[in-house]
Amino acid sequence: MGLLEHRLPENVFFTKLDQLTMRWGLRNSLWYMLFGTACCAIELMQTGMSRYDLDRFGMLPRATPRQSDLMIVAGTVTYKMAIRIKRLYEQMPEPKYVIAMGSCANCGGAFVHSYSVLNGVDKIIPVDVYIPGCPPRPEALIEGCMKLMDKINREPRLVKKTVDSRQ
Amino acid sequence: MLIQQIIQAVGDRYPGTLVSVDQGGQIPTLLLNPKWLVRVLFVLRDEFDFESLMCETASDKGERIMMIYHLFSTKHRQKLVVKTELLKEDLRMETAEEVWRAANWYEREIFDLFGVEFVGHSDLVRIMLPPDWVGHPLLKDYAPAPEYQGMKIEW
Repeated sequence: MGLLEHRLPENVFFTKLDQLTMRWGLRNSLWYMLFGTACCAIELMQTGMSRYDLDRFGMLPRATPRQSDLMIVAGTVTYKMAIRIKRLYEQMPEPKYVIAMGSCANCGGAFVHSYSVLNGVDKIIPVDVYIPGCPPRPEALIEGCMKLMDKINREPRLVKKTVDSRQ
Repeated sequence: MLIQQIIQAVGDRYPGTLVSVDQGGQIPTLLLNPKWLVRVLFVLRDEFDFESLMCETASDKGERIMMIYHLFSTKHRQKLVVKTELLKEDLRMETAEEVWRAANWYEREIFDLFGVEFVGHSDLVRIMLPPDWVGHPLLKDYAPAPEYQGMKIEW
């Protein structure tokens, strides 16, 4: 590699394939799934709009799980919705990440004593970043996305995270 | 006065149906027997111009479930509340869907949360909770199942 480096122009650099695609590529093109479960979704929409503009980090909303890298669980997760969220998560291709946005998705929030609300989305799918707040401001969501990008940067290698649907 | 005419008409046509009238509150309230209730609702709609069902709901009163219908007449600018009581042993009620189509979803909601069975309803399935949910949550003696599809219910 050392020999080759000197023969090529100075604007050519060498790296490992997984670092290029996995870290640099994925970190700068986190396409998130376009869905929200409750009022936090309003803040999520604001974050995607022109004032906060998630697009400048390469984050685009995708209307299908099959083209998404990131699931932002924005809002209360009821048991009825939990089944669907799990299925959507299973349909996303690897590598995939989950941000739990707001108190409800973190731990049940104000509805923790309700008979129909799941106490935290991490009971059904693995969560990478938790964002506190009720609802979190767009700045907090962007901070969460930055944390996730840092996490991707530090990730040693691809890890398969799919939960066993038979459980 | 409109309310007096309604009391008169209901008393004449369906004797014994009208249990009590309360005009002390903001909205005049009729308490009826459940047997001829839907017939009375037809009379209210056709003859007294209550063309709008603002709300249909229920309330757990211990031994009984109280059904509550909020009506509104744009012509008379008049609101009216019609109530009836069902025994918990026999939670069956004639549907008001033929009177006001709006009753369809209200009655599905009451079925979902109170377990009142509406006879003659066109599509009586749960509207908010999943179809395989056990129990009716707005009943006072409700306790949820320990888990739902493998997820533990903590409350």
